[in-house]
Amino acid sequence: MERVSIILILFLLQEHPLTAQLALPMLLPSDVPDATLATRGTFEGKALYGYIDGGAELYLEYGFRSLIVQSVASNDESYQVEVYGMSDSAAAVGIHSVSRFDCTSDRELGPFSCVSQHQVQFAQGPFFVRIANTSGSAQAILYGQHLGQRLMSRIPGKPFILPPLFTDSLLGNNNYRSLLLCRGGLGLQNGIDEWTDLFEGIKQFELEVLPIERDTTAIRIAILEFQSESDRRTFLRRWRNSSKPRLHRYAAVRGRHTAILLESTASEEGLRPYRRLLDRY
Amino acid sequence: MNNESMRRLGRREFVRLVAAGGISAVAGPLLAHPLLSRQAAALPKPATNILEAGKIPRSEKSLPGKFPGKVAKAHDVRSLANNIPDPTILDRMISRSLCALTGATSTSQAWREFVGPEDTIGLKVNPIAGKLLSTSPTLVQVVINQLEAAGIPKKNIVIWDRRESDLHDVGFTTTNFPGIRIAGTEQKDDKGSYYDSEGKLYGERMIDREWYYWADVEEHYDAETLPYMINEGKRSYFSRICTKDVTKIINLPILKNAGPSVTLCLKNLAFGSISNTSRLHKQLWAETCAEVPSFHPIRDKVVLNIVDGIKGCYNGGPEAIPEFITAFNTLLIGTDPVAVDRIGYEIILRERLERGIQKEESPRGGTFLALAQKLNLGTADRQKIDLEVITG
Repeated sequence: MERVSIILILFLLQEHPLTAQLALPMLLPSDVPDATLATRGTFEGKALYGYIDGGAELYLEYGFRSLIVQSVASNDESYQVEVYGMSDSAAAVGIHSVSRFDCTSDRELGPFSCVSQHQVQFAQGPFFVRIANTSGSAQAILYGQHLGQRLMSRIPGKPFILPPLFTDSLLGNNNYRSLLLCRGGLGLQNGIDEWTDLFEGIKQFELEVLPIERDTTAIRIAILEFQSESDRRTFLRRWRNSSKPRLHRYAAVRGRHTAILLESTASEEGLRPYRRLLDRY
Repeated sequence: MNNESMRRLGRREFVRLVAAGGISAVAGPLLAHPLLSRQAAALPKPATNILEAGKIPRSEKSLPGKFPGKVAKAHDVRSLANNIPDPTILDRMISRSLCALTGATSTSQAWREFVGPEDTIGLKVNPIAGKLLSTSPTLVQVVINQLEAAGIPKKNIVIWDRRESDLHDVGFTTTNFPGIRIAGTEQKDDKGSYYDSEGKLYGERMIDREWYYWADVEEHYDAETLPYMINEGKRSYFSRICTKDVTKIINLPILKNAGPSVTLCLKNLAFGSISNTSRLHKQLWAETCAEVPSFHPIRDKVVLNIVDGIKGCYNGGPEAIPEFITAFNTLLIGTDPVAVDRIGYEIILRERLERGIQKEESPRGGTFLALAQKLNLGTADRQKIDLEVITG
């Protein structure tokens, strides 16, 4: 119980009230002296529909506030730079977590970064940044990282902090990369679709999932925050009743609104250390 | 089995899954999903005016059109040269597909199965995700060339979508398409304003208040959002472009995913033809995809669907995220939008399973197909689809 309180306090503390109101960071001409920089548009709230139409729903679900779109043209290459201002750092990490796939991180862009052939993306503070290039060349990737670093330098504050449970040494040390954070049905569909139905009718929740690989087994640990005890009860009933062969499960409840889940293809014996870990938090 | 192997599914396993009926194909299994059934009982969907769609009787012109359940899938790796669509190859792919679909011996003869010089033809494209993931202007040009060769005057052709500025941004301009009308339901003036001097949205002139999709769900929009929605309330009005301006519609969506589902023919027709769409996304996405095309202005005007799958996306859609855009080198052609979408859905799903984005089919992925089949718009049952594969 005490540990849960600590977790919740840490969650609250990392959300500095001022960060949610920071102006959108943007590129300046001095960042790209040999390139052409243009601002393509800004969008606030539901006006995001004007930019990505139905795609806006996912961002709105997480707590989208505003977007600035800039373009950079340099050496026959063009870059689209999008800076999404979200309601809080968890929202920014959440969008990042369901948009990331098959990429490497960039130390200078922080733990929630993802660099691949055509894009650089990262979450820092209440901002989610995506920089896309069209050619996918090595030079374009590097330049995209450079643009990202310029933006990063204008975002004060510390990165999102993982829940203490997820930083336990038993779970390894690369957990920033695999964290999944969902706040609604669309996030679930994009991140952990097999759980979408379990949340049907549950209006507000936050779900943080850590998938872990251990030799031949897959382990999934999740922390869920519900609005009410009855929502938690509904979810847990569905979760226990949903049939998944060869999957072992364990759930613990904390306080009135929190649940911690463990599911894995490991044997009961193999899961024991993880169950003990959950019991400690 | 480790995480990676849990996530990845080979082609052979995919085929086995399809054969075993794991990839749901018909309304029955989809709606009979135990969890979904239980929730459907607990959480009724908002009511809609779908029953009004039946007030105008169906005719031989109604969807699924002249060739129900039939799809031509053309695949040619040469369709992209240096990442640019090759018009010569596209021309050949369309010609062969049309002949396979209709049994005609020439391309023009095939086109005349669907359209004539008396028609005003709307080419419903999808440029909303921008240049990277738009219906290709090259493909549209090839279609126009073939229509002209079949005797359709250019002045009778309209390239059309919701937002005029999106059309212009990706290259659908009168400069690039001389003699062709380019029209969007949502319009702005030379100064960039969506509002006229009287403070009225230009888009309001473009909607037809006689035709609407009613749903018992509404949202309020601020002044910045309203231009993209045109109106608030429980009605979504059809664009005058489809109710008044055109007599036939050729639907040209792009092959892309929307989460674990797809946005292809039905989605392009449904969400692309009406106003006030934001309210429909959360609770009625699948229903809207199936129900809006059941109304006369679409049901009785769409004569052909051509899915642009030369490039498409398997993840990140409907947004254009370059990492997930890939060369499918494919066109899907058919009059039956449900059957075409079913085949497109299979292509996207296979890609997602093979790349480990999904480890199994989502029970929601094909819901709109099942609903559309139930509304007699076409065939969702894979076993009943006559698929002709044409390779380059």
